[in-house]
Amino acid sequence: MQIIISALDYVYNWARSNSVWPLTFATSCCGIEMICTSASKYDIARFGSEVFRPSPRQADLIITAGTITHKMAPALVRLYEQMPEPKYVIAMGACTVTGGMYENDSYSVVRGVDRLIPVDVYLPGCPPRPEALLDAVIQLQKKMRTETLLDRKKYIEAHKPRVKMPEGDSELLLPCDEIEIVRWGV
Amino acid sequence: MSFYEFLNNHGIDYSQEQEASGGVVLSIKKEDLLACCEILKTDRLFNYDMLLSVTGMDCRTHFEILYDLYSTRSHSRLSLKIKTDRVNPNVESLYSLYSSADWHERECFDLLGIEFVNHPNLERILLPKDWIGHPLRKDYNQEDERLCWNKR
Ligand code: SF4
Repeated sequence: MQIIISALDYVYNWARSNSVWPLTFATSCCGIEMICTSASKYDIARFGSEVFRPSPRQADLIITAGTITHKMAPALVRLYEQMPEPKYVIAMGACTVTGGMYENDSYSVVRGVDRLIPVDVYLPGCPPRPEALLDAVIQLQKKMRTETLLDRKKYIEAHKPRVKMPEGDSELLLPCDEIEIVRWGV
Repeated sequence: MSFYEFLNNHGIDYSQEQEASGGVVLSIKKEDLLACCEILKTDRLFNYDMLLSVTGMDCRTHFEILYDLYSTRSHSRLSLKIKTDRVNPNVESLYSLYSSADWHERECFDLLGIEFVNHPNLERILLPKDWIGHPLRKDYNQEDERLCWNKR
């Protein structure tokens, strides 16, 4: 059984890791760099990720390119929840890793998307160069190739949003009780 | 007729004038704002028919609001500055004269909490609806329990 699953894993992972379709999601300056990566000079198509999907239902990967503010956060979590499993996240840019230059005293910026959704690859830089984004995609592919179908349940459990959607008339995300929020910073 | 003569003729009470690179800055009384803008807008010669921006400032003892006007006829700029109290700050809305005042005034209300009297839809524009406080005030502290997950 184990052998059959490993063989299956190999084929399954090879296939999906070579066609990771990202969601079109760019919230500020890092987005320009992401667009540049998909253009002819850097050509993300070499790694099978050229199809930027406008709908989360067809995407495997969300590259959070840009600052996430409190107003945007519910939209991001909703998009993430609408993506089908298995789904992956690349946190692109200092803003989405820790809050970046807004980390100290901004009133509106979320200090890192890992407080909202689980992140697979952290990509620091302000903004990261297109080569760095390509490297992040390659790292993600490597990660995908190590996964096995046997761990599916664990994976799905670990890949839940870490906050609750707002209730009633509110527009602010609420903390989730069960999952501990990652705290960076000094 | 020079601009200052024009102002004097119409009895506009400007207490301080200052030539900035982009044009003239006038300090006027809060109560005169609407009447003053109406004169400036309807005058054939000066015709300040466009409101470029409304900017609020917290000066600790009071708030200042800066209105940038532009004339598409003479291509000149004019800034009007008014002061308002820190407790219960309010000023007449310019929406009836310039429709571009709508969002600018909403932004000013959102971030500084200045009330624009007779504004048709004075709601928050940039921050979430149920945000507490006005973050560009100097004494603002974020003490919202719901945002505890975002502490650094
Ligand atoms: S990390 Fe830098 S470049 Fe990227 S969104 Fe933030 S401020 Fe812009």
